[in-house]
Amino acid sequence: MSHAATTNELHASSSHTDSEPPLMAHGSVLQLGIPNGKIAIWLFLGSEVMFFTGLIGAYIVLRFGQPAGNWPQPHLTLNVPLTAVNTFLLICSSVTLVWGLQSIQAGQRAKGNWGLFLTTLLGAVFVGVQAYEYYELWIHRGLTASTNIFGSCFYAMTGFHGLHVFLGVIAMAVVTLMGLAGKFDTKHYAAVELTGLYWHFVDLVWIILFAIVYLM
Amino acid sequence: MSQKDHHIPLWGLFLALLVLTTAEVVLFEVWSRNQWLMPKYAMVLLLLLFTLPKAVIVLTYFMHLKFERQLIVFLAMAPFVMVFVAVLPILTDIVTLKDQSYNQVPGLREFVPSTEHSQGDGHEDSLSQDPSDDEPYH
Repeated sequence: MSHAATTNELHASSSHTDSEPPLMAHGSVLQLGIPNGKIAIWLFLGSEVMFFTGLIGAYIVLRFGQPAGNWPQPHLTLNVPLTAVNTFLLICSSVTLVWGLQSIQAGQRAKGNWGLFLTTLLGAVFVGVQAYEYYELWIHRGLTASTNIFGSCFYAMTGFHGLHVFLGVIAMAVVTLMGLAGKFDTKHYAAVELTGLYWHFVDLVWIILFAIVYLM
Repeated sequence: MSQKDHHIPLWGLFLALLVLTTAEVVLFEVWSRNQWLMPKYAMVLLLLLFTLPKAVIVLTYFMHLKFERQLIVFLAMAPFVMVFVAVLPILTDIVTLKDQSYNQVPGLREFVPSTEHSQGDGHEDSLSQDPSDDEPYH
């Protein structure tokens, strides 16, 4: 079966009123009955899982493969209390996002916009605190990416995560502006939900990274 | 299926995440100052007991996996299985690395922290060349 034929069949199916799944808040829905956007974001997140697990797997091998005393202890090297507060901020941002989405779904647009704005703000603060942490480590503590294998692992893992948060902040800022422009209501909130999935994933990755890098 | 179809106990979950994060940090801070309390592997296992529920809460409720169709659950879980299979073989390198002297691992020699001041002076794990610079920054 050719690609063109498959595509035509899908379009034909989606225009058939008897078998057509209801049009959901995420836009078009094909035969699976699941919004295209949701499938796409989960496939993307699947690739992200493998990306971060590769980094974490390498760290675990290097970390636990060293004899005792050859690996920096986190409480002597890293600022654990500051990062714990930062972790708390990121968790709060996930909560404000869910609160915002629930408000939009309930028709409370103003509350929804506040939720989106707070999520963006908390994400930006997280990135700012991480930048401060990097500054202290790199300039004052002398830990660079090439100082030792710990430095390489630390900056690779937290750096790629920070990049994801930074991109997430940009996405959340766009979604917030869309909210302020009145783009979302009780039936149209796909952008919030899909961006939210990405945001929660970034939060999930940090929960794991924080435990592995800062506490173990 | 959207989040609108299911109630999420948002503030209860928030409280659970807050408590678990605090418990993690308290456990680590207490253990790092009193390492005689328990061996490191026991502390790591305890930390996992606090971390895993947090991850599950985010995955099942915030990412709504608990209420999703089976296809989405499959899409979400498949990478974890694939990654586990892929990473499992390299985990055996932990044993290989431990069997060798750290300084003899090819490619790592130049990154080994200075061991000149690590012979019983209490600064074994510092990255800094200056022992006076071992205090965490605040």
